[in-house]
Amino acid sequence: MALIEVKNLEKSYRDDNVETPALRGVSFKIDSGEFVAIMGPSGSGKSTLLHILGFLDRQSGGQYLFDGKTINQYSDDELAKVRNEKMGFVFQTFNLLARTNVLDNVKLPLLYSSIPESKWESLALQAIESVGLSHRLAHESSQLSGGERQRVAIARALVMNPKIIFADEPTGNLDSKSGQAVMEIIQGLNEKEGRTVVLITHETYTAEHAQRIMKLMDGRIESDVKVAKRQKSTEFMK
Amino acid sequence: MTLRHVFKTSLSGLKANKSRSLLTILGIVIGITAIILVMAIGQGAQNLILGELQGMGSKTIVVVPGKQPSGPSDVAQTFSDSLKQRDLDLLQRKENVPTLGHIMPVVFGGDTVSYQAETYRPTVFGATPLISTIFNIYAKQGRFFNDDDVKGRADVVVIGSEVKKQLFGESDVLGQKVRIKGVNLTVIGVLPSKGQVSFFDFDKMIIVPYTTAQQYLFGIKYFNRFIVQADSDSSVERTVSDIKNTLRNSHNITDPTKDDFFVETQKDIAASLGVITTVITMLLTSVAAISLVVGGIGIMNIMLVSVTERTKEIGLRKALGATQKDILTQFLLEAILLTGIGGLVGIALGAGLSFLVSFVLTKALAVNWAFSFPINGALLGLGVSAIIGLIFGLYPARLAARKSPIEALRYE
Repeated sequence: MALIEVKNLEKSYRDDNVETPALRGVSFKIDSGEFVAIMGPSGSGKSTLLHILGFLDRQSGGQYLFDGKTINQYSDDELAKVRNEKMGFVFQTFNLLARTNVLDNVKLPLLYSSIPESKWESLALQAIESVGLSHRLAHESSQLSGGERQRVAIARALVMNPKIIFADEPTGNLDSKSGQAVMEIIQGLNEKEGRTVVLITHETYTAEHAQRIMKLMDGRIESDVKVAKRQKSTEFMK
Repeated sequence: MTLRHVFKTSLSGLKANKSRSLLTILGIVIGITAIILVMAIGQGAQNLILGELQGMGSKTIVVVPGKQPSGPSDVAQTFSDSLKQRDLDLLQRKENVPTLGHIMPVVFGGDTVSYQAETYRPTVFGATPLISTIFNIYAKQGRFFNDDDVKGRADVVVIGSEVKKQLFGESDVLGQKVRIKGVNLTVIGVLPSKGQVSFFDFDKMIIVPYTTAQQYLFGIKYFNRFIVQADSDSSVERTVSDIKNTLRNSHNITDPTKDDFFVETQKDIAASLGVITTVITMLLTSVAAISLVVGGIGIMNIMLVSVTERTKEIGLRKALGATQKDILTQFLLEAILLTGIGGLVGIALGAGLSFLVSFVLTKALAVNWAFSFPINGALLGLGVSAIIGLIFGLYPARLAARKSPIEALRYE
């Protein structure tokens, strides 16, 4: 069953009464366990699409079904609950809390969950362990390298054990080596843990870590193909 | 999110932005301290003035010779010799002023008094033994003169504590003779140090029987004042009109506008001083209001800036599952903590400083400046800064919380 299904999705922004369309009717399905990369030049609407898929924004037209339910059936508080429990976000700019240590940054989603506090510490430690940062628990984000920050952000996205991870240009602010490490982790989330991953990137190389690449152009899908030869970060690293 | 976690989140939010939190608190502290200080000083000044008035008692009536001055340039009119012994005799008659309790004729002037090589220039006060009752002042050493001393124009004197210190230092004074205008007077009593009592500084005064003062010191036959006490608070007005009628008869005056004397009651003095205290109060209140506005604008600015600056953080928290309510409670609590801490520190600082001011004024000016804590000012300052803090902390937070998470996240 499709985890995500969009039909004729539209989104336009209004600015000073000028309507700028970002998405002009997009339709596709993403199944549970898939790893999809969305590509396209800037202004193609790929970020807009990801934000709508991730419940960070609402569409202007068309239908979006997540887990069989359309987004319009959710109230704002229910959207917050879905974001909290079923979705994990990784942003290009990391978005860690300033002057807050790694452990507390990773705990942040737990604060808004119904998980009892007694389990927070072990969940957070487990997530940090899985991105290999156990030795950095007490460091503040300003003391970490870019790659380490992004790994903290991934740990934060994982701590609630979400069904789906949305990654918006996760390697965009990183050097190629840290970028590879991050892609390795993201690929592992999909392959070893069976999580659905939707990744946005403009680099073909990064996109080829996915099973499927969707190309957007001017708010429309230009192509949607399976990746013939997938990149394996682990091989590159060695 | 449980309340405990909201509390923890708010606290760590404040800690993560230490300097900003401190600046906000500082703004509130300064505002509240200023208001408390200004209001405490205002209250202290008013209490002081009212206290001076009450020192004389509300039954007291003062008869002054001369035409009532209608302005500051009229002062010369008060130097008049219109109050005579005959007037005193008439006023003392029960049939003229039935409600009269006490009447004390007074003469005064400044003169140099000397003891051996020491000299001092006190106020010389000629009175009767009633001065003890009226001003509640008694001899610390020795005694006051009595009615026989007054009748016999006795050459005795009671001296104030400062006069004693200047002329005699620590040595014994009772029975010693001091000289004024070539007249030797025997010291029979010393007054306790009292400071200012109702416009008179008894410490710098020497008191002699009025008869002695009239005859030997000033060489006059009139009086500078009659100090009268009505037999009760309610009979003051009747006493005043009886005194006026008696004196007009005695001076053959039919037209009240031609009076060569005037009568002041405690009420009149209070009324004229009331204008002054009202002006002082208004002035201080407007200063307090200005400091409140300034403090409020400070709080407003820093709250607006700090919350707007954190729009991105709000977006992130929403993306990770925070609801609008979660965000608003967090910022509400942060604002409450900031204004609360600032308010308490401000109240403590304001109270401490006003206490210090009252202490310094009491020591430096030797006035009886009572410390009073203006609860109204504290509550007003706390209330206004809390309301401002809440409005300007919550309003931008609400705006940010209502944005879609991505709009807030992208805010620069």
